Amino acid sequence: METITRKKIEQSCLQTIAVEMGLKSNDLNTEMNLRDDLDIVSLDAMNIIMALEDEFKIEADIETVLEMQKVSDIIDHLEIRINS
Amino acid sequence: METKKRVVVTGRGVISPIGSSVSDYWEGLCNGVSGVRKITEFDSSGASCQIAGMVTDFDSDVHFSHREKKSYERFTQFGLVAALRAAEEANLLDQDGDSGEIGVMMGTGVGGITSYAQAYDALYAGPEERPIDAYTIPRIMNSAVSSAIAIRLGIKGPNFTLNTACSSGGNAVGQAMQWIREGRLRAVICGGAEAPVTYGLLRAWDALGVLSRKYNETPETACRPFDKNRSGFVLAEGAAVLVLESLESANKRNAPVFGEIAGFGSNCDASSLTNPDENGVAESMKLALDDAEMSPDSIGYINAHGTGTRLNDPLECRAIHRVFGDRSVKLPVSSSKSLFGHAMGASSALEALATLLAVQNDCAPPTLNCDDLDPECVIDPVPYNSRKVQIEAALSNSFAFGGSNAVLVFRKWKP
Repeated sequence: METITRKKIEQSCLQTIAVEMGLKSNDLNTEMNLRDDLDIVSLDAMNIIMALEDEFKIEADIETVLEMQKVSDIIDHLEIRINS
Repeated sequence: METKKRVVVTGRGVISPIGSSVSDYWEGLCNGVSGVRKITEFDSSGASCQIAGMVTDFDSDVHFSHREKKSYERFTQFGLVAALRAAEEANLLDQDGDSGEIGVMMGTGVGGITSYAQAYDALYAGPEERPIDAYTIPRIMNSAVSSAIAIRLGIKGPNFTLNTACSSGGNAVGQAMQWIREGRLRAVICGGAEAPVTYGLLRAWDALGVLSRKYNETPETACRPFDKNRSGFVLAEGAAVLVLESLESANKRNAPVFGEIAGFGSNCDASSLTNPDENGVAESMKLALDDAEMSPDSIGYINAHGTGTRLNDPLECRAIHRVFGDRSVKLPVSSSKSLFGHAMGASSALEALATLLAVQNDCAPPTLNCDDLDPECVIDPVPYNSRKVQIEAALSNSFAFGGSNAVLVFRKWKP
Protein backbone atom coordinates (compact mmCIF):
# COMPACT_ATOMS: atom_id res chain seq x y z
CA MET A 1 0.00 0.00 0.00
CA GLU A 2 1.25 3.49 -0.89
CA THR A 3 2.59 5.41 2.11
CA ILE A 4 0.89 8.69 2.82
CA THR A 5 3.49 11.18 3.98
CA ARG A 6 2.96 13.74 6.72
CA LYS A 7 3.56 16.43 4.07
CA LYS A 8 0.62 15.09 2.05
CA ILE A 9 -1.64 15.00 5.14
CA GLU A 10 -0.62 18.56 5.98
CA GLN A 11 -1.39 19.79 2.45
CA SER A 12 -4.79 18.11 2.45
CA CYS A 13 -5.60 19.40 5.90
CA LEU A 14 -4.72 23.01 5.08
CA GLN A 15 -6.57 22.83 1.76
CA THR A 16 -9.70 21.37 3.40
CA ILE A 17 -9.69 24.02 6.13
CA ALA A 18 -9.25 26.75 3.48
CA VAL A 19 -12.23 25.52 1.46
CA GLU A 20 -14.48 25.14 4.49
CA MET A 21 -13.60 28.51 5.96
CA GLY A 22 -13.43 30.49 2.71
CA LEU A 23 -9.69 31.22 3.16
CA LYS A 24 -6.57 30.85 1.03
CA SER A 25 -4.47 27.82 1.97
CA ASN A 26 -1.28 29.88 1.53
CA ASP A 27 -2.42 32.06 4.42
CA LEU A 28 -2.65 29.08 6.77
CA ASN A 29 0.02 27.32 8.82
CA THR A 30 0.06 24.33 11.10
CA GLU A 31 0.60 26.34 14.28
CA MET A 32 -2.62 28.28 13.93
CA ASN A 33 -5.19 27.94 16.70
CA LEU A 34 -8.42 26.47 15.33
CA ARG A 35 -10.76 28.77 17.21
CA ASP A 36 -8.77 31.94 17.87
CA ASP A 37 -6.99 32.20 14.52
CA LEU A 38 -9.36 30.41 12.17
CA ASP A 39 -12.78 30.89 13.83
CA ILE A 40 -13.55 27.20 13.43
CA VAL A 41 -16.65 26.11 15.38
CA SER A 42 -17.87 22.57 15.90
CA LEU A 43 -19.91 22.37 12.67
CA ASP A 44 -16.93 23.59 10.62
CA ALA A 45 -14.71 21.05 12.40
CA MET A 46 -17.19 18.30 11.56
CA ASN A 47 -17.16 19.24 7.89
CA ILE A 48 -13.35 19.41 7.85
CA ILE A 49 -12.88 16.07 9.54
CA MET A 50 -15.56 14.33 7.44
CA ALA A 51 -13.89 15.53 4.24
CA LEU A 52 -10.51 14.27 5.45
CA GLU A 53 -12.01 10.95 6.56
CA ASP A 54 -13.45 10.62 3.07
CA GLU A 55 -10.18 11.47 1.39
CA PHE A 56 -8.00 9.17 3.45
CA LYS A 57 -10.59 6.41 3.97
CA ILE A 58 -10.20 6.45 7.74
CA GLU A 59 -12.42 7.08 10.72
CA ALA A 60 -11.32 9.84 13.06
CA ASP A 61 -12.19 10.07 16.74
CA ILE A 62 -14.68 12.93 16.58
CA GLU A 63 -14.62 13.74 20.29
CA THR A 64 -10.85 14.00 20.23
CA VAL A 65 -10.89 16.16 17.12
CA LEU A 66 -13.43 18.57 18.61
CA GLU A 67 -11.12 19.17 21.57
CA MET A 68 -8.04 19.91 19.46
CA GLN A 69 -6.40 23.31 19.65
CA LYS A 70 -4.07 23.64 16.67
CA VAL A 71 -4.02 22.58 13.02
CA SER A 72 -1.00 20.38 13.80
CA ASP A 73 -3.11 18.45 16.35
CA ILE A 74 -5.45 17.37 13.53
CA ILE A 75 -2.49 16.37 11.38
CA ASP A 76 -1.00 14.33 14.26
CA HIS A 77 -4.32 12.55 14.79
CA LEU A 78 -4.79 11.80 11.10
CA GLU A 79 -1.22 10.52 10.77
CA ILE A 80 -1.74 8.04 13.60
CA ARG A 81 -5.09 6.89 12.18
CA ILE A 82 -3.76 6.53 8.64
CA ASN A 83 -0.70 4.56 9.67
CA SER A 84 -2.31 2.37 12.29
CA MET B 1 -67.40 46.48 23.87
CA GLU B 2 -63.69 47.04 24.16
CA THR B 3 -62.14 48.85 21.18
CA LYS B 4 -59.55 46.82 19.32
CA LYS B 5 -56.02 48.12 19.58
CA ARG B 6 -55.02 49.65 16.23
CA VAL B 7 -52.07 48.07 14.44
CA VAL B 8 -50.08 49.91 11.78
CA VAL B 9 -47.33 49.07 9.31
CA THR B 10 -44.12 50.96 10.03
CA GLY B 11 -41.58 49.03 7.96
CA ARG B 12 -41.44 47.08 4.70
CA GLY B 13 -38.88 44.91 2.98
CA VAL B 14 -39.00 42.72 -0.11
CA ILE B 15 -36.93 40.40 -2.27
CA SER B 16 -38.81 39.38 -5.40
CA PRO B 17 -38.46 38.34 -9.03
CA ILE B 18 -39.73 41.77 -10.09
CA GLY B 19 -37.67 43.93 -7.77
CA SER B 20 -35.89 43.82 -4.45
CA SER B 21 -36.67 47.23 -3.03
CA VAL B 22 -40.16 48.43 -2.17
CA SER B 23 -40.07 51.07 -4.91
CA ASP B 24 -38.81 48.62 -7.57
CA TYR B 25 -41.39 46.06 -6.49
CA TRP B 26 -44.23 48.55 -6.75
CA GLU B 27 -42.95 49.83 -10.10
CA GLY B 28 -42.73 46.23 -11.35
CA LEU B 29 -46.27 45.50 -10.16
CA CYS B 30 -47.72 48.59 -11.81
CA ASN B 31 -45.76 48.33 -15.04
CA GLY B 32 -46.72 44.70 -15.46
CA VAL B 33 -43.16 43.51 -16.02
CA SER B 34 -42.94 39.74 -15.70
CA GLY B 35 -40.35 38.13 -13.42
CA VAL B 36 -40.91 34.65 -14.87
CA ARG B 37 -38.08 33.21 -16.95
CA LYS B 38 -36.37 30.03 -18.09
CA ILE B 39 -34.74 28.12 -15.22
CA THR B 40 -30.96 28.21 -15.67
CA GLU B 41 -29.91 27.30 -12.13
CA PHE B 42 -30.18 23.56 -12.91
CA ASP B 43 -31.10 21.30 -15.81
CA SER B 44 -34.89 21.35 -15.90
CA SER B 45 -35.23 19.63 -19.27
CA GLY B 46 -36.85 16.54 -17.69
CA ALA B 47 -39.71 18.63 -16.32
CA SER B 48 -42.77 19.67 -18.27
CA CYS B 49 -42.58 23.13 -16.73
CA GLN B 50 -39.12 24.63 -17.17
CA ILE B 51 -39.76 28.20 -16.04
CA ALA B 52 -40.05 29.98 -12.70
CA GLY B 53 -40.14 33.37 -11.03
CA MET B 54 -36.50 33.73 -10.02
CA VAL B 55 -34.78 36.45 -8.02
CA THR B 56 -31.89 37.58 -10.20
CA ASP B 57 -30.51 40.59 -8.34
CA PHE B 58 -29.64 38.99 -4.99
CA ASP B 59 -25.91 38.69 -4.26
CA SER B 60 -25.47 36.85 -0.97
CA ASP B 61 -21.81 37.98 -0.79
CA VAL B 62 -23.05 41.53 -0.32
CA HIS B 63 -25.18 40.64 2.69
CA PHE B 64 -23.52 37.75 4.48
CA SER B 65 -20.26 36.50 5.94
CA HIS B 66 -18.83 33.16 4.87
CA ARG B 67 -20.24 31.53 8.00
CA GLU B 68 -23.69 33.08 7.50
CA LYS B 69 -23.76 31.82 3.92
CA LYS B 70 -22.96 28.32 5.19
CA SER B 71 -25.58 28.56 7.93
CA TYR B 72 -28.44 30.25 6.07
CA GLU B 73 -30.16 28.67 3.13
CA ARG B 74 -31.52 30.85 0.35
CA PHE B 75 -35.00 31.23 1.88
CA THR B 76 -33.47 32.31 5.19
CA GLN B 77 -31.19 34.76 3.41
CA PHE B 78 -34.16 36.28 1.57
CA GLY B 79 -36.22 36.57 4.75
CA LEU B 80 -33.36 38.03 6.77
CA VAL B 81 -32.46 40.70 4.20
CA ALA B 82 -36.13 41.68 3.77
CA ALA B 83 -36.47 41.88 7.56
CA LEU B 84 -33.36 44.02 7.96
CA ARG B 85 -34.72 46.47 5.40
CA ALA B 86 -38.13 46.57 7.08
CA ALA B 87 -36.59 47.10 10.52
CA GLU B 88 -34.35 49.81 9.11
CA GLU B 89 -37.24 51.60 7.45
CA ALA B 90 -39.18 51.44 10.72
CA ASN B 91 -36.12 52.54 12.67
CA LEU B 92 -37.39 49.87 15.03
CA LEU B 93 -34.42 49.22 17.23
CA ASP B 94 -32.61 51.86 19.21
CA GLN B 95 -29.18 51.35 20.71
CA ASP B 96 -30.65 49.69 23.78
CA GLY B 97 -32.03 46.85 21.62
CA ASP B 98 -35.09 44.83 22.51
CA SER B 99 -36.01 43.67 25.97
CA GLY B 100 -38.69 41.25 24.83
CA GLU B 101 -41.37 43.64 23.57
CA ILE B 102 -40.79 42.74 19.92
CA GLY B 103 -41.55 39.39 18.27
CA VAL B 104 -40.83 37.64 15.00
CA MET B 105 -43.47 35.67 13.14
CA MET B 106 -42.48 34.32 9.72
CA GLY B 107 -44.09 31.86 7.34
CA THR B 108 -42.58 29.39 4.92
CA GLY B 109 -43.93 26.43 3.02
CA VAL B 110 -40.98 24.19 2.22
CA GLY B 111 -38.14 25.87 4.14
CA GLY B 112 -34.68 24.56 3.41
CA ILE B 113 -35.60 22.24 0.59
CA THR B 114 -32.35 22.82 -1.31
CA SER B 115 -30.38 21.37 1.58
CA TYR B 116 -32.64 18.32 1.71
CA ALA B 117 -31.87 17.80 -1.98
CA GLN B 118 -28.13 18.23 -1.41
CA ALA B 119 -28.16 15.78 1.50
CA TYR B 120 -29.97 13.13 -0.51
CA ASP B 121 -27.64 13.75 -3.46
CA ALA B 122 -24.67 13.12 -1.14
CA LEU B 123 -26.15 9.77 -0.19
CA TYR B 124 -27.70 8.56 -3.41
CA ALA B 125 -26.55 10.53 -6.46
CA GLY B 126 -23.04 9.08 -6.85
CA PRO B 127 -21.58 5.59 -6.92
CA GLU B 128 -20.57 6.04 -3.27
CA GLU B 129 -21.94 8.05 -0.38
CA ARG B 130 -20.32 11.44 0.24
CA PRO B 131 -20.26 13.22 3.60
CA ILE B 132 -23.36 15.20 4.49
CA ASP B 133 -22.65 18.85 5.29
CA ALA B 134 -22.69 19.48 9.04
CA TYR B 135 -24.74 22.65 8.40
CA THR B 136 -27.57 20.66 6.79
CA ILE B 137 -29.90 20.64 9.81
CA PRO B 138 -29.67 24.38 10.59
CA ARG B 139 -30.14 25.11 6.90
CA ILE B 140 -33.18 22.82 6.58
CA MET B 141 -35.03 24.11 9.66
CA ASN B 142 -38.10 26.14 8.73
CA SER B 143 -37.57 28.20 11.86
CA ALA B 144 -34.08 29.22 10.74
CA VAL B 145 -35.60 32.27 9.11
CA SER B 146 -37.27 33.69 12.22
CA SER B 147 -34.27 32.73 14.36
CA ALA B 148 -31.83 34.41 11.97
CA ILE B 149 -33.83 37.64 12.14
CA ALA B 150 -33.82 37.58 15.94
CA ILE B 151 -30.12 36.74 16.13
CA ARG B 152 -29.08 39.53 13.77
CA LEU B 153 -31.34 42.17 15.35
CA GLY B 154 -31.22 41.00 18.97
CA ILE B 155 -34.99 40.55 19.20
CA LYS B 156 -35.89 38.67 22.35
CA GLY B 157 -39.68 38.31 22.17
CA PRO B 158 -41.59 35.25 20.91
CA ASN B 159 -40.09 33.77 17.77
CA PHE B 160 -42.13 31.62 15.42
CA THR B 161 -42.07 30.31 11.89
CA LEU B 162 -45.45 28.90 10.95
CA ASN B 163 -46.38 26.68 8.06
CA THR B 164 -49.82 26.66 6.51
CA ALA B 165 -48.56 25.85 3.00
CA CYS B 166 -49.34 28.65 0.55
CA SER B 167 -51.05 30.89 3.10
CA SER B 168 -48.10 30.79 5.53
CA GLY B 169 -47.04 34.41 5.04
CA GLY B 170 -50.61 35.70 5.31
CA ASN B 171 -51.26 33.75 8.47
CA ALA B 172 -47.94 34.96 9.89
CA VAL B 173 -48.90 38.60 9.31
CA GLY B 174 -52.37 38.00 10.73
CA GLN B 175 -51.08 36.23 13.84
CA ALA B 176 -48.55 39.00 14.36
CA MET B 177 -51.40 41.51 14.32
CA GLN B 178 -53.21 39.46 16.97
CA TRP B 179 -50.16 39.45 19.25
CA ILE B 180 -50.08 43.24 19.13
CA ARG B 181 -53.83 43.63 19.54
CA GLU B 182 -53.69 41.44 22.63
CA GLY B 183 -51.14 43.85 24.08
CA ARG B 184 -48.57 41.10 24.36
CA LEU B 185 -46.00 42.87 22.14
CA ARG B 186 -45.48 46.40 20.88
CA ALA B 187 -44.14 45.34 17.48
CA VAL B 188 -43.67 42.20 15.38
CA ILE B 189 -41.47 41.59 12.36
CA CYS B 190 -43.56 39.32 10.18
CA GLY B 191 -43.93 37.95 6.66
CA GLY B 192 -42.89 35.03 4.53
CA ALA B 193 -39.83 33.65 2.79
CA GLU B 194 -39.40 30.88 0.25
CA ALA B 195 -36.84 29.53 -2.22
CA PRO B 196 -38.55 26.38 -3.51
CA VAL B 197 -37.22 26.10 -7.04
CA THR B 198 -35.44 22.75 -7.04
CA TYR B 199 -35.70 20.00 -9.61
CA GLY B 200 -37.39 17.61 -7.19
CA LEU B 201 -40.05 20.09 -6.14
CA LEU B 202 -40.61 21.17 -9.73
CA ARG B 203 -41.32 17.55 -10.66
CA ALA B 204 -43.49 17.03 -7.57
CA TRP B 205 -45.70 20.04 -8.33
CA ASP B 206 -45.79 18.99 -11.96
CA ALA B 207 -47.04 15.58 -10.90
CA LEU B 208 -50.08 17.29 -9.38
CA GLY B 209 -50.90 18.74 -12.79
CA VAL B 210 -51.05 22.33 -11.54
CA LEU B 211 -47.96 23.80 -13.20
CA SER B 212 -48.17 25.66 -16.49
CA ARG B 213 -46.66 23.44 -19.21
CA LYS B 214 -47.56 25.22 -22.42
CA TYR B 215 -45.56 28.39 -22.22
CA ASN B 216 -41.92 27.32 -21.74
CA GLU B 217 -40.86 29.36 -24.77
CA THR B 218 -42.72 32.48 -23.65
CA PRO B 219 -42.32 32.41 -19.85
CA GLU B 220 -43.81 35.87 -19.34
CA THR B 221 -47.14 34.61 -20.70
CA ALA B 222 -47.27 31.43 -18.59
CA CYS B 223 -49.23 32.55 -15.55
CA ARG B 224 -52.67 33.61 -16.77
CA PRO B 225 -55.09 34.04 -13.86
CA PHE B 226 -58.76 34.35 -14.86
CA ASP B 227 -57.91 33.83 -18.55
CA LYS B 228 -59.76 31.18 -20.56
CA ASN B 229 -56.43 29.64 -21.62
CA ARG B 230 -54.82 29.47 -18.19
CA SER B 231 -52.99 26.23 -17.57
CA GLY B 232 -51.60 26.53 -14.07
CA PHE B 233 -48.97 28.45 -12.12
CA VAL B 234 -45.19 28.56 -12.06
CA LEU B 235 -43.02 28.28 -8.97
CA ALA B 236 -41.38 31.42 -7.64
CA GLU B 237 -39.05 32.54 -4.87
CA GLY B 238 -38.77 35.63 -2.69
CA ALA B 239 -39.64 37.18 0.64
CA ALA B 240 -41.66 40.04 2.00
CA VAL B 241 -41.53 41.34 5.55
CA LEU B 242 -43.56 43.96 7.37
CA VAL B 243 -43.01 45.62 10.71
CA LEU B 244 -46.37 45.73 12.46
CA GLU B 245 -46.62 47.95 15.47
CA SER B 246 -49.23 49.17 17.90
CA LEU B 247 -50.36 52.68 17.00
CA GLU B 248 -49.37 53.72 20.50
CA SER B 249 -45.79 52.53 19.99
CA ALA B 250 -45.53 54.02 16.50
CA ASN B 251 -46.77 57.41 17.74
CA LYS B 252 -44.41 57.34 20.70
CA ARG B 253 -41.45 56.79 18.39
CA ASN B 254 -42.68 59.09 15.60
CA ALA B 255 -42.35 56.09 13.30
CA PRO B 256 -43.38 56.34 9.65
CA VAL B 257 -46.82 54.79 9.07
CA PHE B 258 -47.56 53.21 5.68
CA GLY B 259 -51.01 51.83 6.40
CA GLU B 260 -53.16 50.08 8.92
CA ILE B 261 -53.81 46.37 9.14
CA ALA B 262 -57.43 46.28 10.14
CA GLY B 263 -58.60 42.70 9.88
CA PHE B 264 -57.61 39.06 9.64
CA GLY B 265 -59.75 36.12 8.61
CA SER B 266 -58.25 32.70 9.20
CA ASN B 267 -60.11 29.44 8.86
CA CYS B 268 -59.95 25.96 7.41
CA ASP B 269 -62.11 24.45 4.66
CA ALA B 270 -61.87 21.11 6.50
CA SER B 271 -62.71 19.33 3.29
CA SER B 272 -59.66 18.40 1.19
CA LEU B 273 -55.87 18.44 1.28
CA THR B 274 -55.65 19.70 -2.30
CA ASN B 275 -58.95 21.16 -3.45
CA PRO B 276 -60.22 24.52 -2.24
CA ASP B 277 -63.77 24.84 -0.96
CA GLU B 278 -65.98 27.76 -1.95
CA ASN B 279 -67.72 27.93 1.42
CA GLY B 280 -64.44 28.10 3.35
CA VAL B 281 -62.93 30.64 0.98
CA ALA B 282 -65.98 32.93 1.16
CA GLU B 283 -66.12 32.54 4.93
CA SER B 284 -62.47 33.60 5.32
CA MET B 285 -63.22 36.88 3.50
CA LYS B 286 -66.29 37.45 5.69
CA LEU B 287 -64.26 36.74 8.84
CA ALA B 288 -61.63 39.28 7.79
CA LEU B 289 -64.27 41.95 7.15
CA ASP B 290 -66.01 41.19 10.45
CA ASP B 291 -62.70 41.39 12.27
CA ALA B 292 -62.04 44.77 10.67
CA GLU B 293 -65.60 45.82 11.51
CA MET B 294 -66.01 46.88 7.89
CA SER B 295 -68.71 46.22 5.31
CA PRO B 296 -67.91 44.78 1.86
CA ASP B 297 -68.73 48.21 0.43
CA SER B 298 -65.66 49.62 2.15
CA ILE B 299 -63.33 47.47 0.04
CA GLY B 300 -61.96 49.11 -3.10
CA TYR B 301 -59.60 46.40 -4.31
CA ILE B 302 -58.88 42.70 -3.84
CA ASN B 303 -55.46 41.18 -4.36
CA ALA B 304 -56.63 37.70 -5.29
CA HIS B 305 -55.06 34.37 -4.51
CA GLY B 306 -55.38 34.06 -8.30
CA THR B 307 -53.13 31.08 -9.02
CA GLY B 308 -54.11 30.64 -12.66
CA THR B 309 -55.15 27.01 -12.11
CA ARG B 310 -58.33 25.65 -13.67
CA LEU B 311 -59.84 25.05 -10.26
CA ASN B 312 -58.89 28.07 -8.14
CA ASP B 313 -59.85 31.04 -10.25
CA PRO B 314 -63.58 30.46 -10.91
CA LEU B 315 -64.03 29.21 -7.35
CA GLU B 316 -62.39 32.32 -5.91
CA CYS B 317 -64.54 34.53 -8.17
CA ARG B 318 -67.72 32.77 -7.05
CA ALA B 319 -66.66 33.21 -3.42
CA ILE B 320 -66.00 36.93 -4.03
CA HIS B 321 -69.48 37.21 -5.55
CA ARG B 322 -70.99 35.58 -2.49
CA VAL B 323 -69.37 38.18 -0.24
CA PHE B 324 -69.57 41.27 -2.45
CA GLY B 325 -72.74 40.53 -4.41
CA ASP B 326 -73.32 42.30 -7.70
CA ARG B 327 -70.61 44.80 -6.85
CA SER B 328 -68.01 42.08 -7.49
CA VAL B 329 -68.45 42.57 -11.23
CA LYS B 330 -66.97 46.07 -10.99
CA LEU B 331 -64.58 45.56 -8.11
CA PRO B 332 -60.91 45.63 -9.21
CA VAL B 333 -59.50 42.14 -8.49
CA SER B 334 -55.99 41.36 -9.69
CA SER B 335 -53.47 38.58 -9.28
CA SER B 336 -49.84 39.47 -8.58
CA LYS B 337 -48.92 35.85 -9.32
CA SER B 338 -49.45 36.70 -12.98
CA LEU B 339 -46.26 38.78 -12.75
CA PHE B 340 -43.92 36.66 -10.69
CA GLY B 341 -45.47 33.25 -10.14
CA HIS B 342 -46.35 31.42 -6.95
CA ALA B 343 -43.81 31.77 -4.16
CA MET B 344 -45.57 29.20 -1.94
CA GLY B 345 -45.33 30.30 1.71
CA ALA B 346 -43.93 33.70 0.73
CA SER B 347 -46.62 34.45 -1.84
CA SER B 348 -49.19 35.71 0.64
CA ALA B 349 -46.59 37.98 2.27
CA LEU B 350 -45.55 39.36 -1.13
CA GLU B 351 -49.20 39.91 -1.95
CA ALA B 352 -49.90 41.50 1.44
CA LEU B 353 -47.23 44.05 0.60
CA ALA B 354 -48.75 44.55 -2.87
CA THR B 355 -52.13 45.16 -1.23
CA LEU B 356 -50.69 47.63 1.28
CA LEU B 357 -49.00 49.51 -1.58
CA ALA B 358 -52.23 49.54 -3.60
CA VAL B 359 -54.02 51.20 -0.68
CA GLN B 360 -51.18 53.62 -0.09
CA ASN B 361 -51.07 54.69 -3.73
CA ASP B 362 -54.75 54.48 -4.68
CA CYS B 363 -53.77 52.23 -7.52
CA ALA B 364 -54.83 48.70 -8.47
CA PRO B 365 -51.90 46.78 -10.00
CA PRO B 366 -52.82 44.72 -13.07
CA THR B 367 -53.29 41.06 -13.91
CA LEU B 368 -50.99 40.04 -16.75
CA ASN B 369 -52.01 37.71 -19.56
CA CYS B 370 -55.75 37.92 -19.01
CA ASP B 371 -56.40 38.20 -22.75
CA ASP B 372 -59.73 36.48 -22.76
CA LEU B 373 -61.60 36.58 -19.46
CA ASP B 374 -63.05 33.20 -18.53
CA PRO B 375 -66.85 33.69 -18.44
CA GLU B 376 -66.80 31.73 -15.16
CA CYS B 377 -64.66 34.49 -13.65
CA VAL B 378 -67.11 37.32 -13.28
CA ILE B 379 -64.80 40.02 -11.91
CA ASP B 380 -62.82 43.01 -13.18
CA PRO B 381 -59.27 41.57 -13.42
CA VAL B 382 -57.58 44.93 -14.15
CA PRO B 383 -56.02 43.52 -17.31
CA TYR B 384 -52.49 44.60 -18.30
CA ASN B 385 -52.45 48.18 -17.01
CA SER B 386 -52.58 49.43 -13.47
CA ARG B 387 -55.53 51.63 -12.65
CA LYS B 388 -55.78 54.71 -10.47
CA VAL B 389 -58.79 54.18 -8.25
CA GLN B 390 -59.78 55.37 -4.79
CA ILE B 391 -58.90 52.54 -2.37
CA GLU B 392 -59.80 53.15 1.26
CA ALA B 393 -59.27 49.51 2.12
CA ALA B 394 -58.37 46.29 0.35
CA LEU B 395 -58.29 42.53 0.87
CA SER B 396 -55.34 40.22 0.36
CA ASN B 397 -56.59 36.67 -0.26
CA SER B 398 -54.56 33.51 0.33
CA PHE B 399 -55.92 29.98 0.15
CA ALA B 400 -53.66 27.02 0.79
CA PHE B 401 -53.50 23.28 0.30
CA GLY B 402 -55.02 21.72 3.36
CA GLY B 403 -57.78 24.33 3.20
CA SER B 404 -55.95 26.82 5.39
CA ASN B 405 -57.16 30.27 4.34
CA ALA B 406 -55.78 33.66 5.36
CA VAL B 407 -57.36 36.95 4.36
CA LEU B 408 -55.93 40.30 5.46
CA VAL B 409 -57.60 43.72 5.40
CA PHE B 410 -55.39 46.77 4.89
CA ARG B 411 -56.84 50.23 5.42
CA LYS B 412 -55.53 53.61 4.35
CA TRP B 413 -53.72 55.31 7.18
CA LYS B 414 -55.75 58.04 8.80
CA PRO B 415 -54.41 59.32 12.13
